[in-house]
Amino acid sequence: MLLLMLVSAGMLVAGLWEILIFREFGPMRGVFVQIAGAAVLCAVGTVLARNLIHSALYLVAFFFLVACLFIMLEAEFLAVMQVLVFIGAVAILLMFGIMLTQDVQGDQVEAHSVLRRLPAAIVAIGLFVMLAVAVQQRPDFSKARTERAAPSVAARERVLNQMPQELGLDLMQRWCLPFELVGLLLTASLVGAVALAQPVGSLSAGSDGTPSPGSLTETPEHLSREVAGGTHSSSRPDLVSP
Amino acid sequence: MSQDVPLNWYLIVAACVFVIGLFGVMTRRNPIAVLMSIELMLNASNLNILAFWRLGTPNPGEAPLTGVVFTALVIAVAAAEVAVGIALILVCYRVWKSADVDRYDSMLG
Repeated sequence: MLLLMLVSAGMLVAGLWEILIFREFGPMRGVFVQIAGAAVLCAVGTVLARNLIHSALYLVAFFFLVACLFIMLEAEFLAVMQVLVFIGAVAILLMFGIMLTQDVQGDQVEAHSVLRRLPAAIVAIGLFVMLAVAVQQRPDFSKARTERAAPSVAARERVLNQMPQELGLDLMQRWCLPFELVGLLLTASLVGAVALAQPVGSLSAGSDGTPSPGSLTETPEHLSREVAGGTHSSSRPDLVSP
Repeated sequence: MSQDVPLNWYLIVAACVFVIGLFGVMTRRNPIAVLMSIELMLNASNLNILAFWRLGTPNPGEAPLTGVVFTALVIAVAAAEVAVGIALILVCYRVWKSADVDRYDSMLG
């Protein structure tokens, strides 16, 4: 709730900033500042919210704002893809994960200790300073280099208006191999996810309890059985259920 | 239209989001929250790739849609990663009866 108020306050401040400071730069910069500021605040909310459901909702808002930034970069097709894949699939999958593991919460008690956060904050701020300095010192290309790139820039501008068509043709011609490999990767990982997530006892294939060799569920079942056995035979009490 | 906003602004925003995601990965203890922070970092990298594609200076003779194809492939890989990650988290939850990355320490040296 507090973070929600923070987000709206941030939008308001960005809007004021837009009116006061960015008026002479043209309208797009003000819009960019607003969207980007809200996106960063939503990212902060995702990381800091104690309730995991709130985290997931901030994440959904963040995905949507990133889609808005994609539109500002004139990649509308990717913006649609971002909304469909990330909000439609990834966020819902994360919600399922939260619902299935919610009843034991390790995150609410100790996660906010300063001892845990201070080193992480130092590392994060240090990395950000490094990145920001690197971005600011990014060298400009030479004049000749820019001129040689002019036909590529023109081709890029031409393609923008027929993005889905050109993207489909490109994926089928120039980037055929990566496209097919990604398809293979998706299939393999989804089958693997299904096999991993099966309950341990529910899929013993043979009637005598031995899993049939070569079956899809063999490896994860063995794996989880081994891990479970190792856990329960361990002498450390904190490994067993709390 | 987008030539209005300089490339550096996108890069700064992407760096900011990436760093926030890194902070989340290091501080959160719930594995699903860690996964969400990883998603933040992936989105920051996507934004970076796309900003460089649209506003950067391309190599001479470069294909016009390189950045878009790259981003689309990254999105597909991110979806696969989340599916496998959720499955692994469920298995860990079932085995350890706990949703806390600090408790998954059977490989502690």
